[in-house]
Amino acid sequence: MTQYAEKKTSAMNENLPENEIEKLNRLVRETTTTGLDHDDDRFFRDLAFEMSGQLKELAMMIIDFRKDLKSRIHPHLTDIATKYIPQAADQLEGIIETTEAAANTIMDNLEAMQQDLESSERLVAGFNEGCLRFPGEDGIEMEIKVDGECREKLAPFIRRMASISRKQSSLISDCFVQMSFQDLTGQRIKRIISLVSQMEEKTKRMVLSFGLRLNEREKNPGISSDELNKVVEEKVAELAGPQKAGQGLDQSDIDDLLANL
Amino acid sequence: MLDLNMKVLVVDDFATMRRILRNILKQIGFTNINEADDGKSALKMLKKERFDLVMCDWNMPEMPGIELLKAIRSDEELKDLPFVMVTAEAQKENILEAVKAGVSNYVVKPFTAETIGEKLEKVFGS
Repeated sequence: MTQYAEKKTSAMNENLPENEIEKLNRLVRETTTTGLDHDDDRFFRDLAFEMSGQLKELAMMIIDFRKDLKSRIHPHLTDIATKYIPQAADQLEGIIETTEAAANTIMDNLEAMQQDLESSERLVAGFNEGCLRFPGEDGIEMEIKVDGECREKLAPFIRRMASISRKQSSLISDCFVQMSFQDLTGQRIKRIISLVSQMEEKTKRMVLSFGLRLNEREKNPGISSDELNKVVEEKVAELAGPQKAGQGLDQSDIDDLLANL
Repeated sequence: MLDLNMKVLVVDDFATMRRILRNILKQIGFTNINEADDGKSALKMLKKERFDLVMCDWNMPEMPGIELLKAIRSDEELKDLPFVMVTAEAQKENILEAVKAGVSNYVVKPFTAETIGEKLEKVFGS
Protein backbone atom coordinates (compact mmCIF):
# COMPACT_ATOMS: atom_id res chain seq x y z
CA MET A 1 0.00 0.00 0.00
CA THR A 2 2.87 2.32 0.90
CA GLN A 3 4.52 1.44 -2.39
CA TYR A 4 1.37 2.32 -4.23
CA ALA A 5 1.04 5.61 -2.36
CA GLU A 6 4.61 6.46 -3.31
CA LYS A 7 3.93 5.58 -6.91
CA LYS A 8 0.83 7.68 -6.91
CA THR A 9 2.67 10.65 -5.43
CA SER A 10 5.50 10.22 -7.88
CA ALA A 11 3.09 10.03 -10.79
CA MET A 12 1.33 13.16 -9.59
CA ASN A 13 4.64 14.93 -9.29
CA GLU A 14 5.14 14.16 -12.94
CA ASN A 15 1.83 15.94 -13.60
CA LEU A 16 -0.20 12.86 -14.43
CA PRO A 17 -3.80 14.11 -14.35
CA GLU A 18 -5.42 13.28 -11.03
CA ASN A 19 -8.67 12.30 -12.69
CA GLU A 20 -6.79 9.70 -14.72
CA ILE A 21 -5.34 8.21 -11.52
CA GLU A 22 -8.74 8.23 -9.84
CA LYS A 23 -10.36 6.63 -12.87
CA LEU A 24 -7.77 3.89 -12.75
CA ASN A 25 -8.28 3.37 -9.03
CA ARG A 26 -11.99 2.99 -9.53
CA LEU A 27 -11.61 0.67 -12.48
CA VAL A 28 -9.19 -1.60 -10.63
CA ARG A 29 -11.38 -1.62 -7.50
CA GLU A 30 -14.47 -2.51 -9.47
CA THR A 31 -12.73 -5.13 -11.54
CA THR A 32 -11.27 -6.91 -8.58
CA THR A 33 -14.26 -6.84 -6.22
CA THR A 34 -17.30 -7.17 -8.48
CA GLY A 35 -18.84 -10.62 -8.26
CA LEU A 36 -17.59 -11.47 -4.80
CA ASP A 37 -20.70 -12.57 -2.95
CA HIS A 38 -19.08 -13.26 0.39
CA ASP A 39 -18.05 -9.78 1.52
CA ASP A 40 -17.30 -11.05 4.98
CA ASP A 41 -15.05 -13.77 3.67
CA ARG A 42 -11.61 -12.56 4.80
CA PHE A 43 -9.72 -14.80 2.38
CA PHE A 44 -11.34 -13.36 -0.74
CA ARG A 45 -11.11 -9.83 0.59
CA ASP A 46 -7.38 -10.21 1.15
CA LEU A 47 -6.94 -11.75 -2.27
CA ALA A 48 -8.90 -8.96 -3.95
CA PHE A 49 -6.92 -6.39 -1.99
CA GLU A 50 -3.59 -7.89 -3.03
CA MET A 51 -4.68 -8.20 -6.66
CA SER A 52 -5.85 -4.64 -6.79
CA GLY A 53 -2.48 -3.49 -5.40
CA GLN A 54 -0.58 -5.46 -8.02
CA LEU A 55 -2.83 -4.28 -10.84
CA LYS A 56 -2.47 -0.70 -9.74
CA GLU A 57 1.32 -1.02 -9.83
CA LEU A 58 1.10 -2.56 -13.28
CA ALA A 59 -1.15 0.26 -14.45
CA MET A 60 1.29 2.83 -13.08
CA MET A 61 4.14 1.13 -14.90
CA ILE A 62 2.21 1.25 -18.17
CA ILE A 63 1.35 4.91 -17.64
CA ASP A 64 4.96 5.73 -16.79
CA PHE A 65 6.19 3.84 -19.82
CA ARG A 66 3.69 5.55 -22.11
CA LYS A 67 4.62 8.92 -20.67
CA ASP A 68 8.33 8.66 -21.29
CA LEU A 69 8.35 6.32 -24.26
CA LYS A 70 10.14 8.89 -26.35
CA SER A 71 12.89 9.40 -23.86
CA ARG A 72 13.23 5.65 -23.53
CA ILE A 73 13.70 5.26 -27.25
CA HIS A 74 15.99 8.17 -27.75
CA PRO A 75 19.14 7.64 -25.75
CA HIS A 76 19.15 3.88 -25.42
CA LEU A 77 17.89 2.32 -28.62
CA THR A 78 19.28 5.06 -30.82
CA ASP A 79 22.69 4.72 -29.25
CA ILE A 80 22.59 0.98 -29.79
CA ALA A 81 21.50 1.33 -33.41
CA THR A 82 23.72 4.20 -34.44
CA LYS A 83 26.69 4.10 -32.10
CA TYR A 84 27.41 0.86 -30.27
CA ILE A 85 26.66 -1.66 -33.01
CA PRO A 86 28.58 0.24 -35.74
CA GLN A 87 31.42 0.69 -33.23
CA ALA A 88 31.46 -3.07 -32.60
CA ALA A 89 31.69 -3.74 -36.35
CA ASP A 90 34.50 -1.15 -36.69
CA GLN A 91 36.43 -2.74 -33.86
CA LEU A 92 36.15 -6.15 -35.47
CA GLU A 93 37.37 -4.67 -38.77
CA GLY A 94 40.22 -3.16 -36.75
CA ILE A 95 41.23 -6.62 -35.51
CA ILE A 96 41.49 -7.88 -39.09
CA GLU A 97 43.56 -4.84 -40.12
CA THR A 98 45.89 -5.10 -37.11
CA THR A 99 46.51 -8.83 -37.50
CA GLU A 100 46.99 -8.40 -41.25
CA ALA A 101 49.58 -5.65 -40.73
CA ALA A 102 51.40 -7.74 -38.11
CA ALA A 103 51.25 -10.84 -40.32
CA ASN A 104 52.76 -8.88 -43.22
CA THR A 105 55.60 -7.54 -41.06
CA ILE A 106 56.35 -11.04 -39.77
CA MET A 107 56.31 -12.39 -43.32
CA ASP A 108 58.65 -9.58 -44.48
CA ASN A 109 61.08 -10.68 -41.76
CA LEU A 110 60.69 -14.34 -42.66
CA GLU A 111 61.39 -13.59 -46.32
CA ALA A 112 64.52 -11.62 -45.37
CA MET A 113 65.67 -14.60 -43.29
CA GLN A 114 64.95 -16.94 -46.21
CA GLN A 115 67.15 -14.79 -48.46
CA ASP A 116 69.99 -14.92 -45.92
CA LEU A 117 69.68 -18.67 -45.71
CA GLU A 118 69.79 -18.94 -49.49
CA SER A 119 73.10 -16.99 -49.38
CA SER A 120 74.43 -19.43 -46.76
CA GLU A 121 73.38 -22.37 -48.88
CA ARG A 122 75.20 -20.90 -51.89
CA LEU A 123 78.28 -20.44 -49.71
CA VAL A 124 78.20 -24.08 -48.64
CA ALA A 125 77.73 -25.20 -52.24
CA GLY A 126 80.73 -23.03 -53.26
CA PHE A 127 82.86 -24.52 -50.48
CA ASN A 128 82.06 -28.02 -51.67
CA GLU A 129 83.16 -26.99 -55.15
CA GLY A 130 86.45 -25.56 -53.77
CA CYS A 131 85.67 -21.87 -54.03
CA LEU A 132 83.97 -19.62 -51.48
CA ARG A 133 82.10 -16.71 -53.11
CA PHE A 134 80.43 -14.05 -50.98
CA PRO A 135 79.88 -10.29 -50.98
CA GLY A 136 82.59 -8.35 -49.12
CA GLU A 137 81.99 -5.39 -46.81
CA ASP A 138 82.08 -3.02 -49.80
CA GLY A 139 79.47 -5.15 -51.59
CA ILE A 140 81.96 -6.43 -54.16
CA GLU A 141 81.94 -10.22 -54.45
CA MET A 142 84.97 -11.93 -52.97
CA GLU A 143 86.34 -15.26 -54.04
CA ILE A 144 88.49 -17.50 -51.83
CA LYS A 145 89.91 -20.73 -53.18
CA VAL A 146 89.66 -23.63 -50.76
CA ASP A 147 92.33 -26.23 -51.32
CA GLY A 148 92.00 -29.92 -50.52
CA GLU A 149 93.59 -29.88 -47.07
CA CYS A 150 91.68 -26.83 -45.87
CA ARG A 151 88.42 -28.27 -47.26
CA GLU A 152 88.99 -31.51 -45.43
CA LYS A 153 89.65 -29.71 -42.13
CA LEU A 154 86.66 -27.42 -42.42
CA ALA A 155 84.25 -30.02 -43.83
CA PRO A 156 82.68 -31.02 -40.44
CA PHE A 157 82.07 -27.36 -39.63
CA ILE A 158 80.49 -26.70 -43.05
CA ARG A 159 78.30 -29.81 -42.74
CA ARG A 160 77.15 -28.53 -39.36
CA MET A 161 76.38 -25.11 -40.90
CA ALA A 162 74.42 -26.78 -43.71
CA SER A 163 72.42 -28.78 -41.19
CA ILE A 164 71.55 -25.65 -39.15
CA SER A 165 70.62 -23.89 -42.36
CA ARG A 166 68.22 -26.69 -43.40
CA LYS A 167 66.61 -26.68 -39.96
CA GLN A 168 66.18 -22.90 -40.03
CA SER A 169 64.70 -23.11 -43.49
CA SER A 170 62.19 -25.69 -42.34
CA LEU A 171 61.24 -23.58 -39.28
CA ILE A 172 60.75 -20.48 -41.44
CA SER A 173 58.59 -22.46 -43.81
CA ASP A 174 56.48 -23.65 -40.88
CA CYS A 175 56.17 -20.06 -39.59
CA PHE A 176 54.82 -19.06 -43.01
CA VAL A 177 52.21 -21.79 -42.88
CA GLN A 178 51.23 -20.80 -39.33
CA MET A 179 50.57 -17.26 -40.53
CA SER A 180 47.39 -18.63 -42.06
CA PHE A 181 45.87 -17.98 -38.62
CA GLN A 182 45.26 -14.44 -39.89
CA ASP A 183 43.15 -15.72 -42.76
CA LEU A 184 41.29 -18.28 -40.65
CA THR A 185 40.48 -15.89 -37.79
CA GLY A 186 39.75 -13.13 -40.30
CA GLN A 187 37.14 -15.26 -42.07
CA ARG A 188 35.39 -15.96 -38.77
CA ILE A 189 35.50 -12.30 -37.77
CA LYS A 190 34.04 -11.35 -41.17
CA ARG A 191 31.10 -13.65 -40.49
CA ILE A 192 30.56 -11.93 -37.13
CA ILE A 193 30.79 -8.51 -38.81
CA SER A 194 28.10 -9.59 -41.24
CA LEU A 195 25.86 -10.69 -38.35
CA VAL A 196 26.51 -7.43 -36.47
CA SER A 197 25.65 -5.44 -39.61
CA GLN A 198 22.35 -7.29 -39.92
CA MET A 199 21.61 -6.51 -36.25
CA GLU A 200 22.47 -2.86 -36.91
CA GLU A 201 20.06 -2.72 -39.84
CA LYS A 202 17.24 -4.36 -37.92
CA THR A 203 17.71 -2.15 -34.84
CA LYS A 204 17.80 0.96 -37.02
CA ARG A 205 14.53 -0.09 -38.65
CA MET A 206 12.98 -0.74 -35.25
CA VAL A 207 14.04 2.67 -33.89
CA LEU A 208 12.81 4.30 -37.05
CA SER A 209 9.48 2.53 -36.92
CA PHE A 210 8.97 3.55 -33.25
CA GLY A 211 9.95 7.13 -33.97
CA LEU A 212 7.74 7.49 -37.02
CA ARG A 213 4.80 5.89 -35.21
CA LEU A 214 5.07 8.41 -32.36
CA ASN A 215 5.55 11.30 -34.77
CA GLU A 216 2.57 10.41 -36.93
CA ARG A 217 0.36 9.81 -33.90
CA GLU A 218 1.30 13.20 -32.51
CA LYS A 219 0.59 14.95 -35.83
CA ASN A 220 -2.66 13.09 -36.36
CA PRO A 221 -4.13 11.79 -33.05
CA GLY A 222 -7.25 10.44 -34.75
CA ILE A 223 -5.35 8.20 -37.15
CA SER A 224 -6.56 4.60 -37.20
CA SER A 225 -4.22 1.76 -36.41
CA ASP A 226 -4.32 0.46 -40.00
CA GLU A 227 -3.63 3.88 -41.46
CA LEU A 228 -0.78 4.41 -39.01
CA ASN A 229 0.78 1.07 -39.95
CA LYS A 230 0.53 1.92 -43.64
CA VAL A 231 2.11 5.36 -43.25
CA VAL A 232 4.90 3.98 -41.05
CA GLU A 233 5.63 1.07 -43.39
CA GLU A 234 5.86 3.42 -46.37
CA LYS A 235 8.16 5.85 -44.57
CA VAL A 236 10.41 3.09 -43.19
CA ALA A 237 10.74 1.60 -46.68
CA GLU A 238 11.49 5.05 -48.07
CA LEU A 239 14.18 5.80 -45.50
CA ALA A 240 15.66 2.35 -45.03
CA GLY A 241 15.31 1.07 -48.59
CA PRO A 242 18.12 -0.07 -50.85
CA GLN A 243 21.01 2.28 -50.25
CA LYS A 244 22.58 4.25 -53.03
CA ALA A 245 25.20 6.89 -52.53
CA GLY A 246 23.63 9.87 -50.80
CA GLN A 247 20.30 8.11 -50.29
CA GLY A 248 18.65 5.86 -47.75
CA LEU A 249 19.02 5.58 -44.02
CA ASP A 250 22.16 6.71 -42.32
CA GLN A 251 23.25 8.05 -38.94
CA SER A 252 22.15 11.62 -39.65
CA ASP A 253 18.67 10.53 -40.90
CA ILE A 254 18.02 8.79 -37.62
CA ASP A 255 19.52 11.59 -35.53
CA ASP A 256 17.37 14.19 -37.31
CA LEU A 257 14.24 12.15 -37.03
CA LEU A 258 14.64 11.45 -33.34
CA ALA A 259 15.70 14.99 -32.57
CA ASN A 260 12.35 16.14 -33.95
CA LEU A 261 10.32 13.82 -31.77
CA MET B 1 57.84 -34.71 -62.23
CA LEU B 2 56.09 -31.36 -61.82
CA ASP B 3 56.73 -28.75 -64.46
CA LEU B 4 57.94 -25.92 -62.24
CA ASN B 5 57.66 -23.41 -65.07
CA MET B 6 53.89 -23.78 -65.28
CA LYS B 7 51.80 -20.64 -64.86
CA VAL B 8 49.89 -20.71 -61.56
CA LEU B 9 46.97 -18.49 -60.50
CA VAL B 10 46.44 -18.11 -56.73
CA VAL B 11 42.92 -16.83 -55.92
CA ASP B 12 42.12 -15.65 -52.38
CA ASP B 13 40.53 -12.51 -50.95
CA PHE B 14 42.99 -12.49 -48.02
CA ALA B 15 46.35 -11.01 -49.03
CA THR B 16 48.05 -12.94 -46.22
CA MET B 17 46.90 -16.27 -47.59
CA ARG B 18 47.95 -15.36 -51.14
CA ARG B 19 51.39 -14.50 -49.81
CA ILE B 20 51.64 -17.76 -47.85
CA LEU B 21 50.65 -19.83 -50.88
CA ARG B 22 53.01 -17.88 -53.12
CA ASN B 23 55.87 -18.53 -50.68
CA ILE B 24 55.11 -22.25 -50.42
CA LEU B 25 54.84 -22.60 -54.20
CA LYS B 26 58.16 -20.78 -54.51
CA GLN B 27 59.73 -23.18 -52.02
CA ILE B 28 58.46 -26.12 -54.08
CA GLY B 29 60.19 -24.49 -57.04
CA PHE B 30 57.42 -22.72 -58.99
CA THR B 31 58.54 -19.47 -60.57
CA ASN B 32 55.51 -18.16 -62.47
CA ILE B 33 52.95 -17.33 -59.78
CA ASN B 34 50.10 -14.84 -60.29
CA GLU B 35 47.36 -13.60 -57.96
CA ALA B 36 43.68 -12.60 -58.02
CA ASP B 37 41.57 -11.51 -55.04
CA ASP B 38 38.23 -13.02 -56.04
CA GLY B 39 36.59 -15.36 -58.53
CA LYS B 40 35.36 -12.63 -60.83
CA SER B 41 38.78 -11.05 -61.43
CA ALA B 42 40.33 -14.54 -61.66
CA LEU B 43 37.89 -15.49 -64.43
CA LYS B 44 38.78 -12.32 -66.34
CA MET B 45 42.49 -13.20 -66.10
CA LEU B 46 41.85 -16.81 -67.14
CA LYS B 47 39.97 -15.68 -70.24
CA LYS B 48 42.67 -13.20 -71.15
CA GLU B 49 45.79 -15.35 -70.72
CA ARG B 50 46.67 -19.02 -70.50
CA PHE B 51 47.23 -20.59 -67.07
CA ASP B 52 48.21 -24.16 -66.17
CA LEU B 53 46.87 -24.36 -62.61
CA VAL B 54 44.37 -22.54 -60.36
CA MET B 55 44.68 -22.67 -56.56
CA CYS B 56 41.55 -21.11 -55.16
CA ASP B 57 39.86 -20.26 -51.86
CA TRP B 58 36.15 -21.06 -51.36
CA ASN B 59 34.86 -18.01 -49.45
CA MET B 60 35.36 -14.82 -51.41
CA PRO B 61 33.26 -11.78 -52.21
CA GLU B 62 31.83 -11.21 -55.69
CA MET B 63 32.38 -14.80 -56.90
CA PRO B 64 33.16 -17.62 -54.45
CA GLY B 65 35.60 -20.38 -55.40
CA ILE B 66 32.87 -22.92 -56.11
CA GLU B 67 31.25 -20.56 -58.62
CA LEU B 68 34.60 -19.95 -60.30
CA LEU B 69 35.10 -23.72 -60.54
CA LYS B 70 31.65 -24.17 -62.15
CA ALA B 71 32.32 -21.31 -64.56
CA ILE B 72 35.65 -22.86 -65.57
CA ARG B 73 34.17 -26.33 -66.07
CA SER B 74 31.37 -24.94 -68.22
CA ASP B 75 33.74 -22.94 -70.43
CA GLU B 76 34.86 -24.80 -73.55
CA GLU B 77 38.30 -23.18 -73.49
CA LEU B 78 38.97 -23.62 -69.76
CA LYS B 79 37.11 -26.81 -68.83
CA ASP B 80 40.26 -28.98 -68.50
CA LEU B 81 42.23 -26.53 -66.37
CA PRO B 82 43.52 -28.15 -63.13
CA PHE B 83 41.74 -26.54 -60.18
CA VAL B 84 42.77 -27.07 -56.54
CA MET B 85 40.42 -25.77 -53.85
CA VAL B 86 42.36 -24.43 -50.83
CA THR B 87 39.84 -23.66 -48.13
CA ALA B 88 38.84 -23.70 -44.47
CA GLU B 89 35.52 -25.31 -45.47
CA ALA B 90 36.03 -28.88 -44.33
CA GLN B 91 32.42 -30.09 -44.17
CA LYS B 92 31.57 -33.22 -46.10
CA GLU B 93 28.88 -31.46 -48.12
CA ASN B 94 31.36 -28.78 -49.27
CA ILE B 95 33.85 -31.38 -50.41
CA LEU B 96 31.12 -33.35 -52.20
CA GLU B 97 29.85 -30.20 -53.91
CA ALA B 98 33.37 -29.37 -55.08
CA VAL B 99 33.95 -32.91 -56.33
CA LYS B 100 30.61 -32.82 -58.15
CA ALA B 101 31.62 -29.52 -59.76
CA GLY B 102 34.86 -31.10 -60.98
CA VAL B 103 37.57 -30.03 -58.54
CA SER B 104 40.99 -31.58 -59.22
CA ASN B 105 41.93 -31.72 -55.54
CA TYR B 106 40.94 -30.25 -52.19
CA VAL B 107 43.32 -28.83 -49.53
CA VAL B 108 41.99 -27.83 -46.11
CA LYS B 109 43.50 -24.83 -44.30
CA PRO B 110 45.72 -24.71 -42.35
CA PHE B 111 47.94 -26.84 -44.59
CA THR B 112 51.61 -27.66 -44.76
CA ALA B 113 54.03 -27.21 -47.64
CA GLU B 114 54.23 -31.01 -47.87
CA THR B 115 50.46 -31.31 -48.30
CA ILE B 116 50.45 -28.77 -51.12
CA GLY B 117 53.36 -30.58 -52.80
CA GLU B 118 51.65 -33.98 -52.50
CA LYS B 119 48.32 -32.74 -53.85
CA LEU B 120 49.99 -31.10 -56.84
CA GLU B 121 51.93 -34.30 -57.56
CA LYS B 122 48.60 -36.15 -57.61
CA VAL B 123 46.88 -33.58 -59.82
CA PHE B 124 49.62 -33.76 -62.42
CA GLY B 125 49.93 -37.53 -62.09
CA SER B 126 53.63 -37.65 -61.39
